[in-house]
Order: sequence, then structure tokens, then C-alpha cells
Amino acid sequence: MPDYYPLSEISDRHIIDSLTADRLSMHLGPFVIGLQARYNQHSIKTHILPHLRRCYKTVNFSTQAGVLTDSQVSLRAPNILRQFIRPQIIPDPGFEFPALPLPLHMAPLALEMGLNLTIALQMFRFLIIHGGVVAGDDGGIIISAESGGGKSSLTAALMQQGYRLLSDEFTIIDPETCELVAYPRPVSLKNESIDAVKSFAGEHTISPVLTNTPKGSIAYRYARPSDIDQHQIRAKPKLIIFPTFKSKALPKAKLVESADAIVRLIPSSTNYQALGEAGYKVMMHLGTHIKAYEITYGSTEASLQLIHDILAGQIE
Amino acid sequence: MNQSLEQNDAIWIAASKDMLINHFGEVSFAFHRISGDTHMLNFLSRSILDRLIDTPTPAHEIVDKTPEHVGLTWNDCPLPVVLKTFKELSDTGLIKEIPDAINTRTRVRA
Repeated sequence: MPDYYPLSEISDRHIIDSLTADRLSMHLGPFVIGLQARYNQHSIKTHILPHLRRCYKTVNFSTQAGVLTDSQVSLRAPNILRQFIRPQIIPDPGFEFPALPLPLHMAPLALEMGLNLTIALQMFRFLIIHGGVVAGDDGGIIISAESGGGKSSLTAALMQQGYRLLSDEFTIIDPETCELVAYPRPVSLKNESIDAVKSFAGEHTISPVLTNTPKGSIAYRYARPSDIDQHQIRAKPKLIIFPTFKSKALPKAKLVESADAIVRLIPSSTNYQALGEAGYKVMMHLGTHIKAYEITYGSTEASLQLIHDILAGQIE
Repeated sequence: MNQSLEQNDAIWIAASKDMLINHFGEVSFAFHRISGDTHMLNFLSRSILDRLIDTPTPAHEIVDKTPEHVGLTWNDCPLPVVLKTFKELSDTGLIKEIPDAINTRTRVRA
């Protein structure tokens, strides 16, 4: 078992040295991910370290060589020229992937993309579904939406209501128990949702905004220390929400038939096919035991009210 | 399926050991262990599959009785639709022909 410590207890120098020497590993939820950076110390200190410090300060990291990891994510220039001249960065999860090179100052986006790629495509112990998860005392809420559907804003809003963040990007389900597994990384906010979340969560909870990225403006709502403290605590799924944010839409909730929910969830999974029977059984469990609702709303308040009403049994 | 199914004497059966099946109202899901594929079945597919789960049956008998089994007439459930559904189930591996099985009932009748 490697020794690991919260990132806040590891010095800048040690983190940078470990990143360049392939010895930095992040221990979060069920995964140990090795991180590497192929840049000089100044570049790492300026562009990568601040994001790690802001978003992962209470997450455990190890800095020893030879730690067994689930996967490795390397941050590197797309070619030698772009390491030095108008430097760029790409996430390299260790397999061929057509990543768009980003300017080096977008290193936080590259790192988060790299972590997403490795979870989505290299983890086969769990069923992975694209969707956020928060949990209350009586179970977890799966929030499944296409990009831009309002998943992350709703996740952040529910955090504000006292729900624990399990994950923003991925619903991670243990096929043995059908429990939701926590992986509380920062919540990725895009464009208008950044100000919306700032307005109720406070400016101090949001990272600096990256503008003009391929996805527009991006910022991260930090996972709270309490979310990270509970990263080994699983939750039983209680509810599935398919949210759609539409400006000025009247709030509406509709029960989704089980078969329809399954048909929506299967294509949202990044590894359903690879898991075979285990993945099928999880999907059937969700369809059989967990109610799913489609909600349409035009404001954060409306979305929270709809979820409150659903949980209170006021919407059938 | 060398001859048309409606005249086919071959005995068919569901690949029960190779699949998992779950029902949600009129829709069913079937997981085929060999291919690793998940299939969504409508009431027609399910009707054919259900009748082949425990009982090996000649293809023509399955085809002949499908409309009656789902409570429809031949007008509402035309033969080409039944044949297409049967073929799809066969293509997915959810039902299969029992090689060299003898359909004694049909032969006696003949």
C-alpha cells in the first residue's frame, strides 16, 4: 500500500518533480490514476499546478515510484515544436485518441479531459454512464443528459441543497451490488451556467474561467472537502433524472417508462458493450427498481422544485 | 432456413441457455450471451420467443399461430411481418433450428 497524503500537504517542488518523473498518483474513489507532465518546471508551475491546488487540494496523492495505478494520464505537447513555441497541450491517456491540441494555458481543461477519457474508456470494473450523481441520506440521484442539457448546473444546484457530490461526469455503478460509486472531481460548467452557479454557490467555489475553449467558456465548481472525505462511501440509486434546460420553459416533469429509461441509458454508457452480461444486469436493475423522470425547466429554482416534488411523491 | 418458413418442417427452439430476458410492459430486453448484444423485443418478437422457450416447435406452426397468439388477424399482422420477425430472431441467435430434428406430428399429418 503506498503512502499517500492530501495534496495540500505536498510541496510545489515535490509535486512538480513527481509529475515529471511519472510518480504522482491520484487516489480518488475507486481509482488510482497516474499523472505525468512533459513540460519544464516553470510551465507546470504556471499552468498545471494551480488547477491541482484549487480542485484537488484535499484529495490523496502518492509520490512514490512503482505505485500500481488503474491508468496513466500524460499531459504533453502534440509535438516537440509546440513544447516551446506557442506551446500547446493534449491529454494522452495512453491510447490513440484524436485530441485537439489546446493552448498551454488551457492545461486544466486538458487534465480534466484526460481524466474523463481514461475513466470512460479504460475502466471495466464498473458500469460507466455519462451522467452526474448526487446523494442524500436516502439514496443517489442519477442525472443523465447530453452535453449542454443542464446536467452539471443541476448537479451543482443540488450540491447547494446539501446533497453530496458523487460525480459530475460519470455515473459509476458496481455491477456486483448495483451501488453508485463516488468519484468527486470538480463539476465542469460551461458558458451561461458559470454565472448561474456562481450566483448561488459563490465566486469562491468556482475556478478561474477558461475562455474561447472548443466548448466555449469553461470553469469548474470545486468538489467540497466533505464530498472528498466521503469518496469511499457508496450510495444506492434512488432516482434517475433526464433534465432539459430550455430558456423560459415552463417547469414540467414526466415519468419515463422503464424501457424508455433503459433505452436512453444504454447509449449513454461508455463501456456497456464491454461489460457484457454484468452491464445488462445493472441496466435491468435500474429499469426494474429505479423510477426515472424527464424534467424540463427554465431556471435552477424550477429544477430544484421539480425534484423536490418528485421525491415527495407529488408527481406521478 | 432453406425453404420458406410457412412450409418449413424444421424444429426451432429458443436459445434459452444463451440469453437473459427481462420484460417491461409490452417491451422486453434480451441479452444474448454469445454475441454480447442486447436486443429490444416488441410484442411480436416476444410472442415467438415465448412459445419457443420451453417447447421445440416447427417453424410453420409458430408462423401460422402468431397472429392468433397476439390477438390479431392476418390483416393486422401480415405474413411478411411475421416472417421478418422470425428471421430477425434467428439472425440474432435468440432462436435456433434444431439440426436433424424430426417433426413427427407434421409427417404423420402429411
